[in-house]
Amino acid sequence: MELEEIKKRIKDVSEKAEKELLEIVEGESDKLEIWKVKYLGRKGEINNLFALLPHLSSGEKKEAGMLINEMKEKLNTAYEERISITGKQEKHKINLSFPGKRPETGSFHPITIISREISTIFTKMGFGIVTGPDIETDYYNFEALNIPAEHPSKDVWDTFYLSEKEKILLRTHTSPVQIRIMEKTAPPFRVIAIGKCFRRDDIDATHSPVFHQIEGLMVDRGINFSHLKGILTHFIMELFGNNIKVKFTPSFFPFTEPSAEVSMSCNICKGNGCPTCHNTGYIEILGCGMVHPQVFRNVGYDTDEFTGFAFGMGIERLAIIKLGITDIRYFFQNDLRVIKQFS
Amino acid sequence: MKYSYKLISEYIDGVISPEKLIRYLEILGLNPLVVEKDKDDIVFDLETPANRGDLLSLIGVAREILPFTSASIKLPPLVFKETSNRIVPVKIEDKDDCIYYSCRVIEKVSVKETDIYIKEKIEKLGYRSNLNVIDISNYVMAEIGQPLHIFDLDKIDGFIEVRRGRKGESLVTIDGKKREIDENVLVIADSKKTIAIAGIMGGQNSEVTADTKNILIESAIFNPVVVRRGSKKIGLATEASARFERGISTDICKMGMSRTAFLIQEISRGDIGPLSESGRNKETLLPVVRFDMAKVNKFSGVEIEEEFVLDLLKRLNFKVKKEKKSFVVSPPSYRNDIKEDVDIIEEIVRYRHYETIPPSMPFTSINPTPCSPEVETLEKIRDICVQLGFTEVVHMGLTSGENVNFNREIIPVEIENPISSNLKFLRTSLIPEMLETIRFNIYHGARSFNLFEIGKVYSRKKDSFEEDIVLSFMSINSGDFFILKGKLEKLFDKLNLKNIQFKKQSGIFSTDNNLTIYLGASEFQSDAGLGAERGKQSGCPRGVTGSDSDRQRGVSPYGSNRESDYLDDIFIGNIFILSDEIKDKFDIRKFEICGSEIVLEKIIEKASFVKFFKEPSKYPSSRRDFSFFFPENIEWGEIENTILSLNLPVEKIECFDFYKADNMTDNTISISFSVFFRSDTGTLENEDVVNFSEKIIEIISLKLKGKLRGAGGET
Repeated sequence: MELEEIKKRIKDVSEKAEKELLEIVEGESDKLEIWKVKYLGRKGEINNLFALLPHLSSGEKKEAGMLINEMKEKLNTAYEERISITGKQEKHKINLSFPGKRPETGSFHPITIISREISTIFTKMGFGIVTGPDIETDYYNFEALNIPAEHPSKDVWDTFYLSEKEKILLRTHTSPVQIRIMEKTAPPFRVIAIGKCFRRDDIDATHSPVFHQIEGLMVDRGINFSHLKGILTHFIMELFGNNIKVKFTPSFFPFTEPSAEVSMSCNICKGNGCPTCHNTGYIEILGCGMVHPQVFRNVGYDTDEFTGFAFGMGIERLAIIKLGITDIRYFFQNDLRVIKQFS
Repeated sequence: MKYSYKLISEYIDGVISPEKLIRYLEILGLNPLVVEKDKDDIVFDLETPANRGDLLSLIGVAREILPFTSASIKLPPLVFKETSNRIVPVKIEDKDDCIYYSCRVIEKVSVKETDIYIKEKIEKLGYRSNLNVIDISNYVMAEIGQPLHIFDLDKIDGFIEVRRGRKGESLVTIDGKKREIDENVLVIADSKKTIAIAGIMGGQNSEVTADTKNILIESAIFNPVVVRRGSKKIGLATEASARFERGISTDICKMGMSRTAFLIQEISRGDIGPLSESGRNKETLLPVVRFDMAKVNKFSGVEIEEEFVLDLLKRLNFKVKKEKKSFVVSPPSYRNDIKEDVDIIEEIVRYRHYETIPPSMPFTSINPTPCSPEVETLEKIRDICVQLGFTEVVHMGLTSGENVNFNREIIPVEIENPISSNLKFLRTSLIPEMLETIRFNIYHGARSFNLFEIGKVYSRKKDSFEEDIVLSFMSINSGDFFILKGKLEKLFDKLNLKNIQFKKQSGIFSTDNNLTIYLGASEFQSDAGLGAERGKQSGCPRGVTGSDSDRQRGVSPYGSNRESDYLDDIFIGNIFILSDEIKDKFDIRKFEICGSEIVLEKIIEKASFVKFFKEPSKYPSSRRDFSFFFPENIEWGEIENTILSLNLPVEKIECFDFYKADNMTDNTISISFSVFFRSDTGTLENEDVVNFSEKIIEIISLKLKGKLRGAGGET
């Protein structure tokens, strides 16, 4: 296209634009905006004119470019003037019915949520929170707890060894903390310990080689089995509600005697029987008992003066019951779709 | 084994309903679980405690529930006639391994399929029916609790010897499997060969078959620990080994022998020979336990009647003598779990029924109770992390060799007996498991998220194992590096940690984009007027990669003694932009991932949550904006510290712009920042602020070679 032809095209566009602009009258701010897009928009007719220039010589390019720019400026001014006639376009009405924009917030892992609930209940009753190492010796994990070296009673604690020769292992329960705290504390006292435990269990819906436990220990003069029942019944009702029934049945742990297993009425079927409680109406939730005198002797406590009770429970198990989580694997899979449910 | 109401009833002289039987077992904590029920019988499982081998028998369970009833025990007939005089001599290599061994020949036995009558019983007990003599031995084991073994007499040469296995030896057991034996395994041998693994399983070479004419019955007591070791060694646990591991009494052992001989003669006839035995054939002195009612009540928390206790112990077959206020009790031989007074107390409370003991709250002194100091701080850190928008994750901490190899300077802790190779090591860092979780969540549709974990990492030192509590942050497509750095700085602020230093050094998870974080050993607090506050409020420079904000260096002029300052600083962690190489390894290339890992031990030690009121200044602040061209490698901390070294009443310094324009070819960058002046003592006059600004411009151009591009501001 020759320069002259382009000049003519510029003039045509300019005249057409001016004519259309004059037709826009008062109140037609919508039309004015449409006009603006048509001519002055980024892909409007004026900008399109620049596409015609590349074939021209540089002098001609300059001339035509200036003409287009002049026209653009002129139309811009005309547009601004026209606004005073049509009135400003009404502000866009906001539709408040759209959903809000939710900020991302952090959330706690269910293990933390349940651990905190449990420790709050016990700290309210004056229990302190103590900790111990994950890497333990056979002495603290077994021997001091009156668990005989080679006896079937050890079978429930299938152990990961770091050095079987040196008797170093990953603790199979939080009970070693009992021994460690008694070794350096004179009674009376009451504590709970929370932490990871490790057992050589294959992974399935109810087993995990790593899980968390809460251990409790109270030692004083005159502590008896009735107190053990009192403290734990209170704990379970605080955690699960006052309508829960609690049942103590005899059990066996080498480090407690008498020992008990505590069950509560199934919170899913309300005691009517369901798969979770194996149709018994009750779910086992923790093990406990009066501290065995041999354990006290191992830490040098006077068994005539002091008695005490101890208890232990799996946090994942309590979380499963309380939060209705169906598979222990969810705790370590860290699926955000699961964790975020409890924030 | 399984238990049947009908079979147990055979040993009770009296009548108990099946419902009552189950109820009693429930009260005693044996958790009966009914598996089969028909019109006149129920079959159930029991959870028997590991110290109660006696309950692995029908008679044992009958004895256990007797105290609830007025019935008495009815023992089965045992008397038979010896009509043969054939004998197999017995030798025991070590009387510690085998406490007692007895055997008896029965000649001319009619071995055949079991009668339907025995077959039914055997199947109820959960065993598969076999030849009659084998079924009888299994039945007696279930009835009395004594494991028995029956050899084909004609396959035995000479004598019986109980001895340790020899290295290189092997035996095909009756289940058809070849078992490698060594000196940890106790075996039964004849004069020529090994014929059984003691207490675990017999050998095929001496097995009873349909053609067997003459048999040898074995009834023995093996050392529980030796049987257990042998069972672990060869990887075979049986009904017999379970009973031996729990301990057998001589009475039971002898009764088992007689009962087996009796039943075999009755059912398959044959001529019984005399007993051949070796070892201790009498019960050792039974323990004598002393207890008194005061202790029973002290433990249980209720008043228990003496009469109840006496009656109970008698019905449990304990010998009881009263001596003044206390009782002297000796348990029957099959109760090897009774060793001291609490064992008796447990029996009393069990039979008294746990449910009848009312719950009560202890009256106790209110005294300080032990508390580990880190617990509270850790929980506060957890709270701050969630406030900062991170979601908590918890990993197992058991991981693969590949995952502990990222940091080759740490010797990882290895598990000797892992369950799988990907759970063989204890983690040395939280990051690899984090990356696996990131991948998992990305695969499941998550696109932008922030994670944190507080957990332990483990390492092996020369002669110890170490565990440290570590905090890790990961940000996935959640803004640039400086957002994460800012959050980390916020955490340090909230913990009131002074003197945190970031130093550009290459890290494990990023060679190029990693800052190492130090906690300054010297905890001095600057007195530089309001300058002391600046650490808390200074904004973070955006886009300045590798900046080293040496925050607490306000007083000492920057640059002096820098080396020695670092000497005492404690390494606490890293913050990084995850390298592409590692992203590729975890198949998460397309995501912007920044992370940080902080060792918490020192932080817990130094963190403080003490707040004290500081009155806000009554006087207005003045702001001045500055833009400088700086040499490209300038660090933000240098600018901040240089300004602070002037000891002006500076409230805070904020970096608001940073760029390197295309046309700046001379290795400079433009940095713009605002300085806020405020005095506690009066309103700053315009001349003051102008004067301060001049000083700032002067020192920056002098010390940092900054070229002023522009300055301005408002008062």
